[in-house]
Amino acid sequence: MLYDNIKKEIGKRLGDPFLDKYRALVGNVFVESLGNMLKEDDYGINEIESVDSETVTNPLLTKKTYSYSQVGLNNTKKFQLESDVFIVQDVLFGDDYSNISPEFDFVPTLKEISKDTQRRMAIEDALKPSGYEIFYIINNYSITFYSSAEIPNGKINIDMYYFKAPSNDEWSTLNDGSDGLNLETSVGLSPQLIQRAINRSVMHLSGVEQGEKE
Amino acid sequence: MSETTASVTSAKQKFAPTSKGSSQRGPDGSGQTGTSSSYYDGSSIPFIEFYQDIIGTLSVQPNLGIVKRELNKVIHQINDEIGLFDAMVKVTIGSETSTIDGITTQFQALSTNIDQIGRFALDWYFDSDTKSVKLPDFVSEFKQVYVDDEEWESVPYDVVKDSENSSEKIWHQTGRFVYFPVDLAGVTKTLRVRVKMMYPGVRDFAGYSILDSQIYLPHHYRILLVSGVLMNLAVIKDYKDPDIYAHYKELYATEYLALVKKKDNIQSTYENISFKYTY
Repeated sequence: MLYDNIKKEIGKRLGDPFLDKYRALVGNVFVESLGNMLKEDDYGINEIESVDSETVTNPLLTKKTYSYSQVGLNNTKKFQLESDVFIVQDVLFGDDYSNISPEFDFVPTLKEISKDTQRRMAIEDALKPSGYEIFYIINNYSITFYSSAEIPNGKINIDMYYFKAPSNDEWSTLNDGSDGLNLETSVGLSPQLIQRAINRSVMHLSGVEQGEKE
Repeated sequence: MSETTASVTSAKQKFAPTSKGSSQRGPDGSGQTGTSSSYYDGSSIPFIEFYQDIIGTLSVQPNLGIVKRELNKVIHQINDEIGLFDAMVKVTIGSETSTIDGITTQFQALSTNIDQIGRFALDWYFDSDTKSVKLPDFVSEFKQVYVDDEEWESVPYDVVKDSENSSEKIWHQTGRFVYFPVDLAGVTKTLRVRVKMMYPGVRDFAGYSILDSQIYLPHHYRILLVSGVLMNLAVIKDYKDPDIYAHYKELYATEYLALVKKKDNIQSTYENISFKYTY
């Protein structure tokens, strides 16, 4: 569905098909509704295509690969998060370090730890990673990995999948191209998800109108 | 060459269910064929098998270090409550020569006395000046001494130290030291001692992964260990579960009673022999 058509659809349901009244509001309300749905986990597993899809050019669900070399006992690595991270969806091994088909003679495992564990790790050996464990924690705009000293030297690739915040600015810019922006094929949103976001936007905007009347 | 420098054994080999601490299989549990100092010569329990027994029960997966910590607590409890194991330890190997393997196990002794390389089992230190063996910390009771398979007799300290008794078959124990009239580091005699030892805890350190670790306890302690560890975990905040606690508490109590009774069948109590000194 084209971004233009989505805006018009919202306008139609509000009795304003040419967006005379809501032109300035409708895009922002739509992305806000969609963002709230992501926050509330109001989406199905197959409703948002990831960056791994070959057809999606501007995915909402994207990823960043953190790649570092495990050398000796130097086993803490900290990275700044990307500035467009909205919701972290999953952190998992990329490439060969997969729990499904290990390319090496060991199977590493990745676990998220709490801030409390991170602090206590300093003096409690039992909380430190051992064997082939790698721990990570996301806080303060950064992601920190703690790997066990037993992990063989070599490159480790860890993928972080995350949602970018839906952005009216970004989509409007893309929409200005010759063909317009199709949220289904280019951003990877399912038609159902778009419809639900439209419904929310309509409810939101009609609420605003009612508020104005009162 | 790949960048991977760790062990090249396959995962299948590593985690084979019947794998046994090969380092433990030396004759007399001497430990002289490997690097461990636990001396337990029975079949050990691979830590990773034990770990899987534990995590299968819990909804939140504890990391390896936490299971290791709780396991070591339970092993200490077994040492204190159910008892230690009897062992006949070959302290000296008898000959003056040693294999390369034997030498490497004694690497830590290099700096103290180069003559003793490979002569004494790991963690057993012989002092030629006082002609005494220092017992390792994991020995709790010292019972009997056999030199070249002949039992020597326990006598008071002054008798051992009397120069006229230098060829007598006698020994004396005070605290962690056992004194002899002869310098065992300088003669080709085989010294075996009967002792009671503590079961060792699980350790891991650089180059020796927790995943390769073995639990050097007999297999009939397995359910006691599993239920003990699960009980301990089920009261920790992150893994709190009253149902698991209740279930395994019952199991632990049953196993405990069964093992206390059964222990005498598994290990001879040697009631006919009174030990010489206990501390």
